[in-house]
Amino acid sequence: MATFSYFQNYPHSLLDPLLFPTPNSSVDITGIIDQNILHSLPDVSKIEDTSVYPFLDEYNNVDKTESDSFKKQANTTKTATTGSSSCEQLNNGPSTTTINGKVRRRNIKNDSNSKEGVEGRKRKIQRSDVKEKRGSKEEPPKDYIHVRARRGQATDSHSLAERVRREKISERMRTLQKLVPGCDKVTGKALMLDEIINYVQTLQNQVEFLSMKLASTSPVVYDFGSDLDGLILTSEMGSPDVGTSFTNAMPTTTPIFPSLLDNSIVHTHAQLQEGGGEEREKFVDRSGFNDNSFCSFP
Amino acid sequence: MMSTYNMVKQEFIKKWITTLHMLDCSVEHPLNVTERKNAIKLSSDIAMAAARSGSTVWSRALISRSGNKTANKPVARRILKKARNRLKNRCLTLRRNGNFTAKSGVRKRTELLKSLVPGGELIKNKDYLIRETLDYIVYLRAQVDVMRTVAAVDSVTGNLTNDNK
Repeated sequence: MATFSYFQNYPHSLLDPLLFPTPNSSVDITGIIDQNILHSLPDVSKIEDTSVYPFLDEYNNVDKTESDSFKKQANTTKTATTGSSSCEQLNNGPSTTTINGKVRRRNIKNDSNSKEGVEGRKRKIQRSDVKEKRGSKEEPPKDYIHVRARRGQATDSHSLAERVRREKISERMRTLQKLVPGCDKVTGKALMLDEIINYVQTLQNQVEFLSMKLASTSPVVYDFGSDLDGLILTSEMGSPDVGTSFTNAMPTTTPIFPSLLDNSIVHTHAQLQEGGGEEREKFVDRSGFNDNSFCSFP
Repeated sequence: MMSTYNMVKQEFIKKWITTLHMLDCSVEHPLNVTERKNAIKLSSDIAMAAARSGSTVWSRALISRSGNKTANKPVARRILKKARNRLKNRCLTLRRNGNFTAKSGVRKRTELLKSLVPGGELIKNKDYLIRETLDYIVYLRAQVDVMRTVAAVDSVTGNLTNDNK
């Protein structure tokens, strides 16, 4: 009853529909979903953990140690820069805000804050905590993002925060460029977003179309779920003992399975091996699967 | 990069087979083509979101959205209606409040992207929205690749069985 206890703790969660699998419900999709997804429910506005998105690192080659190395440097340079940079801040503050229209015009406020303590180049993403943390810590906790102000740029914390934010967004944009094909030539946020929207719509339409195709072309003779399984497996298998692994993996076999094993899998697979060698190679290349690695079901 | 992508696809396939079986037990046969298509799409959506099964907004939103469609007992339906309305109301109010006078093209496009990505309307920060979109695109692409392969095999086997007759 883990799901029910979870519901009491998080009444406003997005997963409310999922939590009501009454004993009468015919389909219990909680079975296939890891329990982690129910228990770890971070607030939407506070998703800061980059490990949530494992693919981004691969596509992006993010070097996470960069941000850590700035930690020590920030601490050592703070005393040196506060004295000399105070004059610069007064000059640079207004200028940087005018350059980038998105930074709020807080000239007067920025100056007063910068005089008090730009003690760390520390910056947490949530703005509400800035004023508390500013004068306090020397060893920052790990979720802080450490940025070093470059020469000739404003060093007050607000513009630093803005710069960090902008860099993050541009980094994301770069990753998106790698993911979305044909996005290299495009510059500017609006056009990039256009491409992304286009791509997502295309993929969703493809899913619709393919599911329609699968629904219509699968032979009507077989039962609904089993014919697709046969097809899915034949598209992956490299070994003739697919039938045994399949039955071992699926304890809830419908009575039609024995006939399925007799007819479709072995038969069509043999045919694929004999006659359609070329096509099979095409499938394997296209799917990029390792033939042996698929046989292991959890 | 390719190895994790293959893992994604394998995970998706496993989950898809499982969900197909589950739906198979719960739905009355025979089905016409539209029903079959809906069931296939539904099962693959659930499988895609389950394969992700992390703390991403889109996967949870997709699961909750799909969970609505699978319930066919009155009790479950009534309960789900309440939750569904809550979700729906939030989305509706977001849409009503804009005849959104988009200040720039970027604003308009982010609104559109939010409507495309499941659960996107609930994300306030643009940075997180883009991250979610990235993740969603990876899994969506895996789904499309797998389905395309299966459909291709389907046509080949169709031809072969026809030849043998």
